[in-house]
Amino acid sequence: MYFTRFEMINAILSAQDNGDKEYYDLMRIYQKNTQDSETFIKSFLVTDLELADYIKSSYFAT
Amino acid sequence: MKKKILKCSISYSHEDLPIRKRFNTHLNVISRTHPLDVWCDMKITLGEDINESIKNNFNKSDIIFLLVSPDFVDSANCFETEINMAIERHNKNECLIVPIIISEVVNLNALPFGSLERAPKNGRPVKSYRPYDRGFAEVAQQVIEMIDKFYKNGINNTPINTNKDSDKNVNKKVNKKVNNKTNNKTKKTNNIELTNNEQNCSSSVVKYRVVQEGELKEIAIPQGVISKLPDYHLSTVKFIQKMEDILNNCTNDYIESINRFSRRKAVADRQRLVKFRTFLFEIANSIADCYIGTFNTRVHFRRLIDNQYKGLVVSGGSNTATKASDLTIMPCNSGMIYISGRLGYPLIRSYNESHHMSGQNDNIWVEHLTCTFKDGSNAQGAPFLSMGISLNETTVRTYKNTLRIMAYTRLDIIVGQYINRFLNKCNQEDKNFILSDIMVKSFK
Repeated sequence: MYFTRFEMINAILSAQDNGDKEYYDLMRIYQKNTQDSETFIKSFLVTDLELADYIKSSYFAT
Repeated sequence: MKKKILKCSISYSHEDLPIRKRFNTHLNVISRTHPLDVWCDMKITLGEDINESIKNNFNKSDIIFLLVSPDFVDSANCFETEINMAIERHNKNECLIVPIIISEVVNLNALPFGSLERAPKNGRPVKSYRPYDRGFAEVAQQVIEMIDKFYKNGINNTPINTNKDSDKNVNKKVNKKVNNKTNNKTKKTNNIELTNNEQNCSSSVVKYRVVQEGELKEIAIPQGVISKLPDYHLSTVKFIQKMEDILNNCTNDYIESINRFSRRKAVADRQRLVKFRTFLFEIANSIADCYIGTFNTRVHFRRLIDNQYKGLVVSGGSNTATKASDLTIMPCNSGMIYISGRLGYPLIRSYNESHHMSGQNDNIWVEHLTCTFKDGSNAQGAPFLSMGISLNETTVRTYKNTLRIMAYTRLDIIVGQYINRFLNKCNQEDKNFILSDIMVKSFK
């Protein structure tokens, strides 16, 4: 499942604030994509369904 | 007028063969305008006496290039035989010696050619350039200037003193400094720690302005230390490129989401704060990623709320996960954030220990840079935002000078400009996006 950059960071901040274990996995995906890429990454692929659910649930209703 | 073809020899260690080949290419480029006849030991033919051939060619050379590296100094042939031959001719004004620093060598000044002008000019080893062709390009420029001078004025060398006693004295001094350094190893100091080599480089120091105990002072960072720093210029270029993309993405995202904000002001303000936090998180990670590396660095932002500075955003990826709410709460009328806001200048902890307020993570983060942003402060002049870049024990030795350069080159101004641009763009679309309003909201 693809998530926007904002959705991803929002989930990371949420996991960081709450001390959730998903924080490390999310950070790993964020860093791998942003550090390795020469171009600006606008969306992140998350294959782990549980993690994807976490991102969706932490996304505040805007 | 036809230029004289200058004979050149290259003295190098065979461990550095690939880099010698690349240097040859650069000499061939020079040769297009300044004719050179380059010789190196690879031209020795089968059956030829190696030592005799080296001696003959060195004796005919107008310029002798020394490709200086630890392997070169370690090589008995290069160090004892070829350098001695070169120095002998140098002292008779028969040739020019050009030491080219390929990779870092300790005690360079104490070596027989230590007093000679080196290339690259800034003392930075060629191998530390990315790509190292950039280093050779600088060397080539220096060589061209030297050849032009040679055509104009001929050779006018200052003799090198090869007196063994004087070498011993130099070594004694170096050893004394090394011993002093070892004795002071555990002593906490506000000064930059120097290696014995760096202490010897006092002739080539770069002055940096830093705030020391509330006053702007000049500190010296020796060239030897500078050459070991990561390429700050490239890091800044990389950071700015990243920030332009992030700024566009974050502002577009913000503008798109405005019409989806809650009608309830309190909720909408909280949503604005979340958007602002994601932007700051991007800045924090980019700084860590571009300048130092994310693992042993923590870049954080604190905000002014209830007359205190409380954690707002912490970069991710650090080996010690920290929540923003775990950041030590700092007062708004004393401490480094206060002084930085008052002076409008970034502060380094080790220069400003008396202003440092101890925090709960002091055992982890031993050195940091604290800065504030000139735009946005309350009625008493206390800035709304502060930024800190912390280094732990593992990174402090390598990167503390990077912090000093960040302070000197005012990274805070660069970051402040991006924050401002983000705020202004958002404010153009959403009149309720006002820093002072959104900062007071809770994000939990």
